[in-house]
Amino acid sequence: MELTYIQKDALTELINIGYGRAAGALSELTGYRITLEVPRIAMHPIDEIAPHLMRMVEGEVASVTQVFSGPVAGNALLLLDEKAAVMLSELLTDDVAPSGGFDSGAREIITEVGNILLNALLGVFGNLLQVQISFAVPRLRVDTIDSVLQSITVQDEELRYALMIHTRFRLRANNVSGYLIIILGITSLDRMLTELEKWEERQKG
Amino acid sequence: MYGLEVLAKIRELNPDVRVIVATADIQTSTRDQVRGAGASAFLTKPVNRKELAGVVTTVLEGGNVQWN
Repeated sequence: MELTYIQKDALTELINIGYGRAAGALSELTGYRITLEVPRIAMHPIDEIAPHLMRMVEGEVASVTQVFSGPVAGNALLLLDEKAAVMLSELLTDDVAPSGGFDSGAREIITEVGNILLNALLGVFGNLLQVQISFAVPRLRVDTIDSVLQSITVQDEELRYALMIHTRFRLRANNVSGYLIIILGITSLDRMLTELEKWEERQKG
Repeated sequence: MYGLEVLAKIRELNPDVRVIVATADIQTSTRDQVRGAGASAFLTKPVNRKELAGVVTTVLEGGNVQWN
């Protein structure tokens, strides 16, 4: 399944608004200006997603996964390498972890950050597309990307192909960067494209 | 238990309790549900202290909170 140019363009516009809202929330939390790379949108067979992500983030990652359901369902992830996760939690508490590691306090903070960012991103989709999206409790994992994705795909047989939307964000004035990723199965993608067309019509009207 | 369920339970136990909901969910449909369930105010995270203090004060004084 390939997206047409017009579909990709509309999706990019929607995603830009969503990522912008998430970046705004992160900026408000940290007090730093956030830069966002242009979101990338691509359809991948599910088993190609892990190798793709492993080229972007090496080693173990701290991932916050938010399962969302409703007319458009899927998985949203915040991915940070472990060092970035520790730095981000320290930034938010003005505190340095005594062990220098990713302790329980830091885990709670990163889970909440993930909750806020992913809800901001997906909430924009819900508002603009006028669909109600429900969120499960966010889950934090510190693991390899392969294992993180494995846990997602095992739960959802529909995810043989998936739309992957990702962008890299960076906190200016320090080295914290990470990825916000949305994975949608084919049925949800179809529904999203339908809602996207309606949204475009409403924009014109 | 999710926030809306907690809100419903609180209202069931004591309808006079004023509840301010703070959530990461920014959807207008969620805000409408929260309002319909009887909350006094709806804040989206991240919540800044000044905003929180203002809303708590308004709610405690029985004033009207802006829902938009």
